[in-house]
Amino acid sequence: MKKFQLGEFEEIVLLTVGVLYGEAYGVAIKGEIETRLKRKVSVGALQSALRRMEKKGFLISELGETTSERGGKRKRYFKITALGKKAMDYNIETRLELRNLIPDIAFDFKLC
Amino acid sequence: MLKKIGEWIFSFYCHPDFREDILGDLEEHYRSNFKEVGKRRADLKFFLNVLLLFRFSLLRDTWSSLNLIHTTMVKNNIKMAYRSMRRQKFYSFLNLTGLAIGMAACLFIAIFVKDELSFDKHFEDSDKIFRIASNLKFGDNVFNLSFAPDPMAKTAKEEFPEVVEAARTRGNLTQLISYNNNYIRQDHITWADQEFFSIFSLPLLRGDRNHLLDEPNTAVLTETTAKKIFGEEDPLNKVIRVNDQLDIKVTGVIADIPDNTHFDYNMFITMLNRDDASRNFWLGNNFTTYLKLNSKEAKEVVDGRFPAFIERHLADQVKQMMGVDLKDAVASGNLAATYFLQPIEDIYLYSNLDFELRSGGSIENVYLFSIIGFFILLIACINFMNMATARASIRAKEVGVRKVLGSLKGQLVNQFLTESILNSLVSGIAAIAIVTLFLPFFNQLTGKEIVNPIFSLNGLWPYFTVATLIVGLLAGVYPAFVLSSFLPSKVLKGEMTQGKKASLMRNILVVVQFSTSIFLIIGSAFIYSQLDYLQHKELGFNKDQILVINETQLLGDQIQVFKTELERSAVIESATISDFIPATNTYNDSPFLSENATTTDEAVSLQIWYVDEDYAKTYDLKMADGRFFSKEFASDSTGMVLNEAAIKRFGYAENPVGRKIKSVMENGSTYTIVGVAKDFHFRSMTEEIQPQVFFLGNSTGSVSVKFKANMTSDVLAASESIWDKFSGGKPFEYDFLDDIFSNSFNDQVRLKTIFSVFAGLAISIACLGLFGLAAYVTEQRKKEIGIRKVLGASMTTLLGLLFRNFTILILVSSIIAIPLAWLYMDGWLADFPFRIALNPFIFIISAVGTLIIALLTVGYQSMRAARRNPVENLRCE
Repeated sequence: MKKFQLGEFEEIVLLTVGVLYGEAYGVAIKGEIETRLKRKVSVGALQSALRRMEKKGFLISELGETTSERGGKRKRYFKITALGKKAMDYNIETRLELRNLIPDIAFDFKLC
Repeated sequence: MLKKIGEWIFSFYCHPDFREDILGDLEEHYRSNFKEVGKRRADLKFFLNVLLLFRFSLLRDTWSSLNLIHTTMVKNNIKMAYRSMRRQKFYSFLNLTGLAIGMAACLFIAIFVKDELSFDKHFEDSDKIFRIASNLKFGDNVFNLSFAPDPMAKTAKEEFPEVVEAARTRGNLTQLISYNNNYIRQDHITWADQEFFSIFSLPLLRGDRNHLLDEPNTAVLTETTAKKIFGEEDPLNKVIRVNDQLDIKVTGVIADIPDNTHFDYNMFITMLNRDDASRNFWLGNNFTTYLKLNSKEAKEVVDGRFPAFIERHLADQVKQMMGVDLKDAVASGNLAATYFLQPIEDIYLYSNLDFELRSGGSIENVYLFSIIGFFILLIACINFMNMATARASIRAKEVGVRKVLGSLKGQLVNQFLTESILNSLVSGIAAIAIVTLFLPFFNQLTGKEIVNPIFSLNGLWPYFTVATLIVGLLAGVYPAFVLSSFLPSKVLKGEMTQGKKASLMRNILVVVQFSTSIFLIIGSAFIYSQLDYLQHKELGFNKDQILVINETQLLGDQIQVFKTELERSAVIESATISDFIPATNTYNDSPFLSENATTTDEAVSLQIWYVDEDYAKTYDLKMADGRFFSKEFASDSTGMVLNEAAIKRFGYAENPVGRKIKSVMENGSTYTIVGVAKDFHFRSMTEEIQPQVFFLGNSTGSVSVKFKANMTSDVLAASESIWDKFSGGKPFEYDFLDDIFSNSFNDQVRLKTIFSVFAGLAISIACLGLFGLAAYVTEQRKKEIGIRKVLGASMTTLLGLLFRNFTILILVSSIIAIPLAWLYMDGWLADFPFRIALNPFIFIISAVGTLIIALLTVGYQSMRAARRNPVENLRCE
């Protein structure tokens, strides 16, 4: 379904926002993905993925409190919406479905 | 710093809603980076992040959803332009062709000018390298040389603190080079100092830059020369033989010298091999001397040091050699020796001294061609303007309707400008195609070797793109304002009277076009007839049927036998041994005194030619008085033959034969005049005939042979077989004198061709425009023509009616162009000592010719209109 379309990176960001519930803002999400998935994340890619998904309605955000650590700038916390959850579930389910449809023989590597 | 800039850039492009929190995130990253990797890396990372954040989803509204330009309107304008071009195929074709040809011509000129201006700028520190030039005066003789005395380089470096490096070259000769008994005639050989390669950053392919020419018997070759002599072999440290006498070792190979350099040497032999390079002789000027200064501005300082320097070093030798005091001689105006520096970047275009290493460049030509290019483009632009305003009535309804529907004037101007820019872009692409296609011809014509002039790294493309847009704007701006200012109420009612103003403007533009064309036509006519005059002027010697055999010094003692053998051949009429060939720029002068002269101040500088007894016979020289040398008179070894110019200078008006002339050099030897030769053009036709003297002498470099008519191939076969008998396998090298002669006109032929090509282009583009204009005018007057015809007007009356306007325009153009051309051609011709008169006939012919071409262009349209059945013209559908 077109409306649940998620890119691979978007999916990871969406899941991580869920994992970090309540603490999901830019730096934290980036750190979490980097430690868990051991891959480099650029600020640009992450931020544009976040805004894109917010526009699609998978995420909502609100500004948090001011901290001196950030030069007096507020954090923006992201949360998954119901639609976001649906998209996430839909993605994972369709993949699982496809995985289960693979016949055992396809994994019989001796034949190769 | 970097962080501040980053923040500023980010705030500039980022959507304001996202700015705060993303900047906060960046700040947080920055601080942790700061701790981990330090300020510099953190700054850099911050900046990189800002650049990477430039993403579509994060941009400001203005950037992502709103457009800075109204693309829809632009799209619409382009569509309209395209449609109107298609609807008027004929006019669009005329417009585009004219503009494309004009732009191509301009591009060619730009390529030419850019190359001319690039001379010698490719050397490192080229602005700090200078050549020493001199103005010398010796009695009546004035020399402007590009040479300096042999000790100049060394002494200047020692005494002037500003001089970083000094080097000399001498000669630019063709010699016979052999390697493994293979002979090659190598041209552009010079002798140079080791320092030459420190001054000029010529890329060295093989060898050690610091030890190229610092030992005797060494030479440096260019890549091509090395390939020619050695093929694929490594040339380094190989020994080659020069003129069968001297063995020299190749110590280096440099890349070929770029074509845009004022010297074009192929081989450098060390100066240490020349005895005359270290004679410390201040009175002879033979060495091209280059100085590298520590700064560009030091030129004035060095120029200022020269007078004292010259006096210090010259005075003793002047006293000793000429017996006069330098100061007194200078004060009395009999002697002058001024030296000055020329920036090497200016040599090619600005310097015009005697014996320039390379001629052909002149800043006047650069200006002239730039102006011509500008005018050709102007003519093409005028076509566009005229056609656009002339056809305004067709577009008038469109303008009216658009205005009624709410178009603003500005929007209409935009529309018409888009149209003309589109036109010029299409023409620009066509022009590039034309240039690419004709580049080989261009290179041939200009003698340049230009590849890919437009799209190379420092090619013309940025200028060309900008120029194309500017041309589009300039050509479009006038029609755009005329067309967009129509009043809808009038236009839509059909009251389409184009005011007198518009047609006056059109006439002025046509006059500009045709004045330029006529000017160019007159110019090429004059250059053509002047050249024709020079090429066919009575030379005073026979240039046809003469074969010059070179390198005959290789025959040694056998040359006399060789000559006798040649004379015996059936196809050969006579032969003479002499290095001195007319029409080549041989230069060998020395001062002489008349028998009753008292001081050296009265000396006359004579060109000395050493010849044998058969010289006059072979070259058909005419004697004005006395006789030429003859074997019958043993006394001829102290005899001399002068030309008329020399006799005049010595003042021997009556009975010159038998009188005496003293040499200033050679301890004052005296010679007797045995004959007076009629003046002949022994050097270039573009120079005055100078005083000249013949001596009997040994100059065995070439043998000239006069052969019978139509025996060209026979004489070659005969001479070669005789040569082979004596030469021992050395190659037979020859030239025909008429080839040498016509090659000496290369520069003028080039100018002629360029001028006539551009004149042709100018007149054709102008006629393209006229053709379109005529089509329009006759179309407008077709009802009038119909009525006149019905009322009994004849064909001639009708044609006269249609021709009158254009004839007046051409006449006005002639009146403007002729005086300008007169002035210009007068100046151009003044440079030639032998020149044609400013024949009014040429002016009239050019103007009448242009008129005829123009009327023929208009004639087709007019004929058609006049012959058409009036019913067709008058019928209302």
